[in-house]
Amino acid sequence: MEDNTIILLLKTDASQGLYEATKKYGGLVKGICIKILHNRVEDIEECIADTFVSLWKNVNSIDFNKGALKGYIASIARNTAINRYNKLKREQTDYIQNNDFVSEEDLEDEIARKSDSAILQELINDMGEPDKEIFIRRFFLFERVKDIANRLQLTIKTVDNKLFRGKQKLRKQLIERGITL
Amino acid sequence: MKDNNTNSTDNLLEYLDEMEIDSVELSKDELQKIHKLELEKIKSKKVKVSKRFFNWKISSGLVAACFVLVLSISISVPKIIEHIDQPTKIVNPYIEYNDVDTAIEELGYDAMVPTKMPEEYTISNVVIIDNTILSIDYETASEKINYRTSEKNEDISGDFTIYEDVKQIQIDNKDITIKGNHDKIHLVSWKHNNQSFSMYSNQGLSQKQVIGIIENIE
Repeated sequence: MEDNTIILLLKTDASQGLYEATKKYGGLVKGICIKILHNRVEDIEECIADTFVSLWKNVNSIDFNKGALKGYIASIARNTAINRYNKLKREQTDYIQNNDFVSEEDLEDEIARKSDSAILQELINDMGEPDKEIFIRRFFLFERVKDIANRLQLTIKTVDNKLFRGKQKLRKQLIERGITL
Repeated sequence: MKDNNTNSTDNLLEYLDEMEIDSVELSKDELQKIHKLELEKIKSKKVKVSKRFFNWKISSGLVAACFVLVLSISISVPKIIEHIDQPTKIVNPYIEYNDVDTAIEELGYDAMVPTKMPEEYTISNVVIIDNTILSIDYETASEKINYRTSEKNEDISGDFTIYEDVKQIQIDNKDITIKGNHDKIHLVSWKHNNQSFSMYSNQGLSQKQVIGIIENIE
């Protein structure tokens, strides 16, 4: 079903709109949630449902003229999954000890946490390619370095180097703007 | 004018829109289960709103509320009775029409439509979407073209697929954007005389076919 039709349905018939939105974009949301919540099936299902309920709640206040339904849903999914992850982390300290959610480095963790903030997005937007895509995939979508390397046909070392240099550059730019990570 | 924050958010959303993001297919059972969860969450949100409203009423003073209630009932009862006889109005974003002329009449302006389509294509569906977009399906036994027009100054195609090939051409002094993959044109859009137009073909059209259709829109 076309995005415009889904948006109209969300505005006029919540049940049908949610069904069609989930049918079309549920797989995308699941893909994003899995990267953050791993094999927590029930949490992933809750997260998918929360994502589309959030879309439904905000459908009247968002300008979809640019056709950013996919991007918008991906963004909600990512933030919803992080919130659930943080809740799980608070409730179960032994959870996520062995997964690859983000690196243990504080800076990476902070970038991941703050990467939806406008200033960080502005800095990432100014990056050239492929660094920009690498950063978004790593810190916004939490893809593994190995997977990013495969997708962009780069070596793992190249991706690691670009992330390392990019982080240093970001840190410098943020400090210049009076923000410390 | 947008501020920097909005711009950077828009940029990220647009970037995500165009990115290939890994997708994991939902099974039919999963889809049903998640949809059930969504409906429960919507229901619980409505209940929470009701509870908050009830608490507020108590704290505001039930006596005053009752007084206002009695007063307003005495004024509005005749109007309520009058409304009971009227049918509930449900807004339907899709209204189907038997023919194009009736739909254009309903639309309220002289909408331009194709007068000549490739051979074997016949009109299969005429719809007005959201009171503003005229949408006409032309079909053969196996193929379909969706044509849309509106006075809205926005993308009315409803197709946000990222295509490999995007280019601008001129037909009849109109700047036309064509999008497609592998030499097939799937989406065509343009603006003319403050009206927006789009044409979508799932199976893809040739440039010659597109030009033939657009040259005969009146």
